[in-house]
Amino acid sequence: MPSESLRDELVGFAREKGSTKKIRDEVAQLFLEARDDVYRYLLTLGLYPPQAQEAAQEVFLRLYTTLRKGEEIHNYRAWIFRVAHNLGLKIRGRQNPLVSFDPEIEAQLASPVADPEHTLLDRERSRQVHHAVEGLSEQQRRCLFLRLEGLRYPEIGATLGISASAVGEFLRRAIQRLRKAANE
Amino acid sequence: MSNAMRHPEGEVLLRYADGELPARQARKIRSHLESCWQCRTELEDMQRVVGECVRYRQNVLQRLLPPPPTRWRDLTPQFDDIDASLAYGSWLARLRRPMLTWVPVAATVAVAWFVYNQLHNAPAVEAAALLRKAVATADAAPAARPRQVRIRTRQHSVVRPVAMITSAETGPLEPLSVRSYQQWHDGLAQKRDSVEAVAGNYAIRTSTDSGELAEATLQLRTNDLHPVQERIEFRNHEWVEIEEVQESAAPPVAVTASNSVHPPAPLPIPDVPKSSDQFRQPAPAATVGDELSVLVALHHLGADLGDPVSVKRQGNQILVAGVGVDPERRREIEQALSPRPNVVLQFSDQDSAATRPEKPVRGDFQPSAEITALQNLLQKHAGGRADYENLSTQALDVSESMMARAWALRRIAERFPAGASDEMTASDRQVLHDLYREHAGALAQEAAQMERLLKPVLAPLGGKAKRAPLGTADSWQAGTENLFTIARRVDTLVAVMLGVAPGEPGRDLPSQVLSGLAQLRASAESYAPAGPSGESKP
Repeated sequence: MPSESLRDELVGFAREKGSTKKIRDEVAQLFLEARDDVYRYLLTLGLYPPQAQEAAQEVFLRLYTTLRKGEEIHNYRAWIFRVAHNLGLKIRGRQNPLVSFDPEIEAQLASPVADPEHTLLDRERSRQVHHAVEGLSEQQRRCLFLRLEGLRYPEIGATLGISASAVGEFLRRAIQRLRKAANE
Repeated sequence: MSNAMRHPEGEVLLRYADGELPARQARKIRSHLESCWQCRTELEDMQRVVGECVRYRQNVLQRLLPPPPTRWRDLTPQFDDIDASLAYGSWLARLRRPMLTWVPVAATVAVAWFVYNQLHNAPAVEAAALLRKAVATADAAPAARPRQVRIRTRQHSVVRPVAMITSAETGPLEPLSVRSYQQWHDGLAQKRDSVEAVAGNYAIRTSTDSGELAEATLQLRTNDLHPVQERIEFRNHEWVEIEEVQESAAPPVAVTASNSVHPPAPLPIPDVPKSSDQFRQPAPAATVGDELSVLVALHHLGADLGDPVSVKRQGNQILVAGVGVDPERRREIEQALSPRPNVVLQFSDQDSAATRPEKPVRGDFQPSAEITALQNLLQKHAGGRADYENLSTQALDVSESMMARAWALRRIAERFPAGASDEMTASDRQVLHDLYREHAGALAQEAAQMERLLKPVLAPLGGKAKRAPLGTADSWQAGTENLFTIARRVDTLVAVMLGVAPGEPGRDLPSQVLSGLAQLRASAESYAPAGPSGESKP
């Protein structure tokens, strides 16, 4: 019969194993659900596809490490995008700071072969919005893309290192510019 | 808000639509919208743009961006690696025990001398005996422990002070501890030992077939048995290397911000306690110098330009608080500040209204006829629509950067009011002076950059910088407040001119902008806290 302390240790061990499995399942599920969104966000930061895919995977491994260390995360999606953003900037800064925001989209939007499901009018509309998005400042675009990924203002602010009210201001400016473009 | 009151501004409407307004304010806006066709139309227009953005995400970003080049990996094997690395951290934590604090000096010297002679005369020593002797020597001279160590894993390499190590892979750990190694070694039921002489060191290698650690090697200097390197290999072939770093090879704080917009020129870092002995002393009362030292370290990281981080003295501590700072940035800040014994770091993930800077809210609007006419002229002189958009984006970005500097200067002036200089040493004054001048110099450069951007399009419209006298200020703090006011005015004028903020253009907007910029540049060069001699501007 095990001693008290040994029994405590065994119970603790079993609990830890249980919580590890739960964390694994959670992160695996999140990986399945959000990896493509993270990957695309990293592409819009200017990373090449192999870099973006590698970085997206790294983000989920970091999430797993953080949870395994017992740190609490209130909003997984916001955390994931915050880490992805910082990792993406680091990679971009290290390798090619001047990559422009996906230049191939323009050509694809112009080609009915590449995008047969949309009418000429749809494509023209998308091209207009794409131009307007490209014309936004870096911060405006970042705020807009993170908002499109479902992040709230304080979460976007935490990702970009600015206040929530500054996020509101950037978004307002972005909407203003896009609206102007839409009316032209 | 009744209909008779003025309409909510654009940002307020957007925040309302996004559910970001406090409940009370949201209720008022809802009530206003029910009665106001104009604002409801405004909101619908805004929602239409939001709808365009959502469709853009679906139809362009999701469909036309290139798909991942390879299949997504199964992360399970890497989860296993992470678990093994974390097990290493807890393994070291379990091994950590309070060290013996007192050994008679004479006995220590005798042991050390005995060990020294023994080892020199008998190179093929038994590992267990060597470890026992090394522990006795370490206990006798705890001050000889390394001050900086480099931790290397397959992916990372980091230099940290010895007392403050926390790595992502291992968690908190006590590096290069002979006692820890000995306790692990002695606790193994089955093991193989070897001792070799390697470049002036004894390398003790222990391998085992049980447990997650497959092999560990500890190198001790032959002349004093001081541990200098440790390597640990896991069953899954991952490894960690910990190595003592000489002082000259590792400056105590040398972290550069990766995302600083304007990398600051190096400032002298005020003296900080470096010896590991000093970490054990009770922290002295925090001084202005301590606070300045922290501000300079944050400045080197670029963390004083918009990062949600605040610094204040509290009793004998310097409290550095951050809200919503991302983990990477936190680590950089922790690394930069860890050698300071009286610094307390408090990070939290929750944003709160109290920490939001009081940025003026700009409303949504339709540009007036004058502004539209001005923009058409600007477009013409810029060389067409595309060039104008480019110019406009650059100008707005520089304007934001200028405001970040102006906020940083204002925070410095608020943190060090007139009375604070009495507490400062000559060295403190120098540091404060340099910190201020660096921000002010950058602000002046940004104002000049803005002038270079805008002059070619504003001069043909009759824009001319008028000489305006600098406002009177009794102190550099008051001067800084003037400077901040001018920066804010320029920011607003530029935003109005470029059609991103409402406002009356007033008379001769191009000249107002250029005059404001010239005044801002002159102001940035005019004020500074007293240097070491005590003389200050103005």
